[in-house]
Formats: sequence, structure tokens, C-alpha cells
Amino acid sequence: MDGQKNNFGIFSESDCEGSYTKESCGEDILITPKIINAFLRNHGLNKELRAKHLFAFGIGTVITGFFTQWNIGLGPAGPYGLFAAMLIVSWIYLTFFSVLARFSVNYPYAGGPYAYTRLGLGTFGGYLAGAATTLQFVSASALVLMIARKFVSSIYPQMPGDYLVLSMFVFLLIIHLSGIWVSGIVQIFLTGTALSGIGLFFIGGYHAPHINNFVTDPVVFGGWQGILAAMPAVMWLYLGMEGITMSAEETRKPQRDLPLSLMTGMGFAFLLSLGVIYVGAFYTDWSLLKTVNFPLLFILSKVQSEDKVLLATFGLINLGVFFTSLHGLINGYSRQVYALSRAGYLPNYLSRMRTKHQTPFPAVIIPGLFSVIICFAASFQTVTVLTLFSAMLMYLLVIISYLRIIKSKPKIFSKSRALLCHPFVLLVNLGLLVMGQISLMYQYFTSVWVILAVYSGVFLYYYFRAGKHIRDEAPEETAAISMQNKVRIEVK
Amino acid sequence: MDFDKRLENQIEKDIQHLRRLGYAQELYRTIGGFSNFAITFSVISILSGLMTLYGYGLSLVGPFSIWTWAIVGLFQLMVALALGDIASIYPLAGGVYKWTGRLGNPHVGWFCGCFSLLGWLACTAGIQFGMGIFLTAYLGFELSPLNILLITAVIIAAHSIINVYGIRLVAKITDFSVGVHIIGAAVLVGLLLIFGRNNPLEYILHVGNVPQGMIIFNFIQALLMSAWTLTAFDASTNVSEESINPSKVVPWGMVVAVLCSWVLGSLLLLSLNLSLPGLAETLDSGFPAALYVIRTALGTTIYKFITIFILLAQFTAGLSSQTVSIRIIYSFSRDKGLPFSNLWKNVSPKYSTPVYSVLLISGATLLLCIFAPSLQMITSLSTIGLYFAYAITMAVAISERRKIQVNHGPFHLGRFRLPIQVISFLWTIFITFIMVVPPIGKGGKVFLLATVFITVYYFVAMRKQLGAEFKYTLE
Repeated sequence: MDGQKNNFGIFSESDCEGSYTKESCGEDILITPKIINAFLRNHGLNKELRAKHLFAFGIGTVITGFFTQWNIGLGPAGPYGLFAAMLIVSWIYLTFFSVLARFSVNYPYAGGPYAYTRLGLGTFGGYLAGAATTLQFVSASALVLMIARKFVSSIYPQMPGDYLVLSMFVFLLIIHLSGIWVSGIVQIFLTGTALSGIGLFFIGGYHAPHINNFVTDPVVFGGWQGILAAMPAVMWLYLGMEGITMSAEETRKPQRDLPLSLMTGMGFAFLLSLGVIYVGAFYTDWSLLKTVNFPLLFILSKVQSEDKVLLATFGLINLGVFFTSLHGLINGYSRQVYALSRAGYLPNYLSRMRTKHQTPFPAVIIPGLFSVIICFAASFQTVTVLTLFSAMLMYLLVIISYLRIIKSKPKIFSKSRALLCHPFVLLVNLGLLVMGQISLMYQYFTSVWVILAVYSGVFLYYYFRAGKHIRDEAPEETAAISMQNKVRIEVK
Repeated sequence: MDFDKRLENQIEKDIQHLRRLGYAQELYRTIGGFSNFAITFSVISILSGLMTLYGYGLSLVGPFSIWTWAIVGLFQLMVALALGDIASIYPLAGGVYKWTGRLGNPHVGWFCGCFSLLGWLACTAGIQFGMGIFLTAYLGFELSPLNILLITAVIIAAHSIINVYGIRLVAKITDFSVGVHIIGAAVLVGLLLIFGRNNPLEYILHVGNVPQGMIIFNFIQALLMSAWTLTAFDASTNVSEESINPSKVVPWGMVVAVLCSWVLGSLLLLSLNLSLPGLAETLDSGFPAALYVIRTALGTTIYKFITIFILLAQFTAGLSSQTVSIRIIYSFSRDKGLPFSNLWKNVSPKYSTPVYSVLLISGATLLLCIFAPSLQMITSLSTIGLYFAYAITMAVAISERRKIQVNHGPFHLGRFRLPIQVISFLWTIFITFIMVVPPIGKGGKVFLLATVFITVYYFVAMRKQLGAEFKYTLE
């Protein structure tokens, strides 16, 4: 098929002749390839990324979760419970990423979760998923900034922590404004450094686990309530990797590289999780870990207390880890905001491009400012709840969208009933996610009002503004409209 | 779209250029500028060469051995420039062998190719043997000759298997190798300078307990450390026929790789010397000197971690070196320049690789490791072979400078050509001389034996064949 296709491979009406029946050809489509191409000339991103960059963005975004937060799950669940929670959460993410991989092959748009949900759940569903994704990434950035401030103030008390963290954040924003090529290289370097930290931890702490924790003292199992309560803590091991899909329009071979980097990233994160939980959760005095902020540094400082060079090096790498995640999170929220703005849900100026490097500079800077404000104004618990709730809401919406699409249009995805994307497996996943949401609310009941307030704002904004300014020429919208009108969409 | 179009046009131009040089395009042109640089940079491999022979330099002139790197770096940059000048005219697989054959005549080209092949064989063996020593020490085994040899044999087998089964994997590993080298060296230098510093900067002028009269003699001997490391940068010329715009990217790849290696190597040696816990203590430790310095200065955990980078660098350097040697054997046998050429040039239809060439190289490097009495002997032999091949190339280039001037490529030296060529020639002859002539030279006997064998084979089998080829070329 060498017919006229736009950048996203949506066939024009002339392509339908001969290969499609009149009924299925999009006679009622007003958005022609000419209009879309003109739109993309003003809103297109540079295609510079390869699988290695995407992998670095994926792993780099979640890397903070290996250095902090997961140990909170030890409190309610104990080592075995935490391990079980990790396996369940890994399974949820494995199936969720399989769904994302299928979507990303067919619909490689910067909107990512918004685009996928828009297809199956209409404009409001798409908007809600997009808003949840944005809230997840912006509040996660604020959370990482808080953790970094806490780290500097406790490990390097002599340093001006706030200034250091903020200047690093500004530096990362500048890197993003310098174009996706620079950003990708920096992320590879940062992720490599962060992974070196985990390597150092494994080498220095491999003898930390004690046999008693496996054999003679297995009562540390916290029951199913414990596992459920530990699930939000271990979600940090994967949370944010879905940001890979939002780099779709900047990837040279999205159909190949997006699913590849998603699934290899998932596999790699799973192996790292096994290692970290094995060394960390089965550490001789694991009960000490329940309340510490930085468990890996804590373990190393106990088992390698004499090795000052190791501890100093690991401390520096640990600090670098937070900026690695921040860099990935900035990429995630900026692309989501850009896509929502391009489609008219958010104000137009947010999708303005910096012409030299084709970077959406307001979408990088403005949500970044929100992150900084949240970091200084909100409590750690509130931001944690907002991040986790938004993430799980988005996962739910994407999975429901997928289920609806394969029910109404089963031919869109090849092998749509493969094991990992089988409707039954996804329904189980939905159940687990709902239980996760309930567990989260139960644990952080005092912060539920924040979720109510924020999401009321999200609904009202849609009702009064976003729903009235949707631009059909945005690729995500065009794809959804095309699908509704039964026109075949083929992505280059 | 514009970029793709430009790329297509460039590849078409390259194919036309190759046709003008008398060859059809048989290989895929996919290698860009970065990969070209990557190949050369990973074969030079400062983490492999410098770390392996650091103790050797230290034992001769103490921390002062760093100055051998400064001198060698300067002159090798000249050699890289001079070779780049020729590579730009003849972007052909086969490197110095093809250049001298084209610039001079097939006879001199064949001789040059033989010495280059000898150098590459020994270079591969040296890297593999050096890694064998490091890995034996890292795994905690006794550094006995048998243990080292067994581990070296495993390394050679691993390289050979990759070269037979996964030529695509070789390319990926080579690209990955650049990251390993740069990150490994940067992390090591940074950590040593921040946490491991034991000595003041003036320490790099310290020559140890060498008697006054022996300093120059020992210093010349210590040149081996740097001369062996900063060589073999003609590696990327062997992939000229697979490169896009090779007349430009191959010479630049060589020059930039030498420059980067020079800078990073200087920092590496500086940081090791400043972290040296004590000269006598290091040399008497019974452990590879560089590893001993790292372990003492940075502690066991960091040592275990950073040595993984060094071992990875050595592994990838050995792999790249073996790949280049295989290509030279293949290129040579394609022109019937070796005994049993039909066997070596045979490409396996199953794996698309010259399997017998791989076996030949593996066997030869293993034999070299078994019969060579020391690592210095292997590295000396490698240095002699490679530098003598460069010297022949420079001599031919000087005598045929008009040919170069008229046909110069996009990378050329202009009016600096002759002085750079003369300096390069004198330098390469000097290094060959000191490596051959006793008491400094350690590979002289083997080199002479190899020269006799090459000469006899030339008169018995090659002279007539090359003469006919020469006549054909002239016609």
C-alpha cells in the first residue's frame, strides 16, 4: 500500500478504493490527511530516540523505587509478604504493559494512555486518563523532589539541600529544552550511573541476608491483608515506566522499539526487584528497615561499615538516582500535557514548540513549576496518595478501554486473546487494581479528601472548558474518530 | 526524508568510488561515523592495554612511566594523521596491505600485510592473555601459568564462538564497548582522584630506585607499555567497504579515537600513580599492579565492581581484535596470499562467516600464549609487527607522495603531508628497532624467524603470482 498516508499512516479516502467497501470507507470524515499534515508541521516532535533511549527512560524513571519506599511494605507484610506483594504487582504490570505494548504498536502517539483510552472510552475517558497520567507524573516528580531534599538534609546536612535540589531540577528542565536527542543521551548516562549503584549494592551487600530469615523464622508473613497493604509500596518498583509510550512520536521505529523497550524494561525491573528484595527484605535485621528512609544505603552502612569509600560513593550515586527518575518523569508529564493541549483539552499555549529543537517548552516548564510548589506546600503522604491513586486509575481506564475495543472490534489487535492480554486475565487485573485502590484509601484515609478535591476539579474543568475545545485534527483524536467510522488505520 | 535521501545519495557515491577502485560492492554499507570511531577506540582499549602493562612500566621507571604515554601519544597521532591521509584515498577493506599494494606494488603490499597480520595475531593473543591474568586474579585463583592458560583458553573459545555465530552481536558489542571504556575510565579516574589519592602531583616525576645511568635505558624499555596500547588504530580501515562515506569517517575515526584514548589514558595513568600505595609494596604484591592499586585505594567492594568494567573492556577489545585479524586473513586468502588460501576464504553458508579463518586465528593465538614465556614477549611481538607494517606504509607513502597529492581524498594533510610522513616513518622505525634489538627487544628472535619464513614463502610461492598481478595492474 503506497497510497497517500500522513505521518501517522492514516489512509486517505482514495486509499480505500478497491480495498474497502464503500460502507467501511470514511466518507463522513472531515479531517483529511492534508489538514493533519499541516497540523503536524506545527506540532510535530523530532524523531531521535531508539530502543536504548526508551529503555533508559523506562528504567531510569522507576529507579528511585529501588532505593527507597519499597521497604515500607515490610511493616505490614514482613519479608515473605513483601515478596508475595512484589510478585503480584509484577504480574499486574506485566499484563498492563502487554496491553500498552499492543496499543503502542497500533497507535504510537505522544498521548500514550490518553490516546489509548480515548479510543475505547471516548473523549471524557481519554481526558480522564490523560489527566490522571499528568497528575501521576507531576505529583511523582514532587515526591521525588521531597525525597531528594530529605536525603540531602539527612546525609549531607552541611549542604544547602533545597538550593541543591532545585538547581538540579532546573538543570534537568534545561536539558529537556535542549531537545530530545540531548535528553536521551543524558538519560542513558544517568540510568547507567544509577544501575551502577544497584550493582555496587549487590556486590557490597550480597552476604546481608541471613539463613534464619528463610528457615527458622518464617512467621513474618503478614497475611493477605499484609500483602494488600504492601502492594502500594512495591508499586514504586514499576511506577512510571509507562512513560515510555509517551515518547512514541519521538521514536524512530515506534512499532518495534516501544513494545521492545516496554517488555525488556519490565523484565529488567523484575530481575532488579528480585535482587533488591532478596538482599534487602531478608537482611539479618530486616525489622530495622521498616522505618528507614533509604534502605539500600542503610544496609550497606551496616554490612560494610568500614568501607568509607564505598559508602561515600554509594551516597553520591543514591543522590544521582533521584535526578535520574526526575529526568524520566519530566519527559513523561511534558509529553502528556503537550498531547492534551494539542488536542484542545488543555490551553493551546501548552503545546507551543521551541522551534530549534522541537520541544514543547511550556509543557516542560509549567507542570515542573507545579511539582516544585507541591513539593514545598503538600505533605509527603498526600502526594503519595495522589500519585498512586492517579496511576491506578489510569491503569484501570486503559485496561477497560482495551477490553471494550477487543469486544467491539476484535480484528484491530492481532492475537488479542493471547495469555497476557486475555480478557479473563485482564478482569482479574482489574479486580486486583480495585483492591489496590481500596487498600490505598484504607491506609491513607485522612488524605482521601485530596483525591476528591483534585478529581472534582478535573471533572469540572472538563465540563466547563476541556470538553468544548477538542481539536479533531490532533492525531489521537483523528485515530479515534477514524476507528469509530470503521476506516482502517495503518501506522507507518 | 531529506536525511534518508542524502544517505542514499552518499551510499551510491561510495559504491561508485569503490567501483572506480576496481571492486564491486558486496558488503552492506551500514557503519556510520560513530561506529567507525567505536571500532578503533575499543581496539586501542586503554582499559585493556594500559592496565595490563602498567606494572611493567612501573617496574622499570616507577610513576615516571606516565611520560612514555605522553611521547607515544604525540607521535602516534602523527601516524594516525598520515594513515588517515591514505585511507581517504583508498577506502578498501584490508587496510595497510591494500594501501601499500596500491601505492607501491603488490610485492611490497604482501610483505606489509604479512607483518600487519603478525602484529594483529600477537595483539589479539596479548589482550586475551592479559585478560586471562586479570580474570584469574579476580576469581581468586592462584596466578600460576596453568591457571592463566586455562582461563585464557576459555576466553579465546568465547571470542571464537561469538565470531562464528554472531557477527551482528560483534557489532553491538563493539558499540557497547565504547560506553564501557568511557564510563569505566571516567568512574575509575574520578574515584581514584577523589578518594584514593596518596601522593602529590610531583610523584609522577619519581623514577623509583633506578640507578642514574639506567634511567634512559629503562625509559626506552618502558615505551612498550604505551606503544602497545596506543596502536592497532587501523582497525576501522578494515570495515571501509561497510562504512558510509568511508573517505571521511575512517580517517576521522582513527584520529579522534587516538586523541580520546590519549586524553583518557593520561588521566588514567595520572590517577593510578597518584593513588599508588608504595612502589615496592605494589610490585611485590604478587597481584597485577593496576588491580592492586585500585583494591588498596578504593576498598574491596569498589575494586570488585570497577574490575568488572576492566574485564568487560578487555573482553570486547579482544573480540574486536580477533574480528579484525579474521578479516585480514580472509582478505589475504581472497587474494591467494596465504598457504591453503581456499580453506581460509571459505565462508560458511550456515553462519555467513569464514569459520576456518576463525579456527586458524584461535589456534594461532592459543599457541602463542602457550609457547610465549611472558606477556611482554607477546606484546613486543605485536608492537613490532604493527609498527613495522606502519613503517613500510610510510616509506611507500613518502616515495609515492605525488600519487597521494594528485588523488587526495576529503581528509588530507596538505602541505604538512611530507613532514608528518617523515616523522611517522622515523618514529615507527625507531619503535621497531628498539623492540627487535637486544637487550631491550624481547621479540627479536621470533620476529626474525617469522621474517625468514615470510621471505622463504615469498620466493617459493608468492613472487611469481604477485609478479603476474603487478604486470596485470600495469597493463
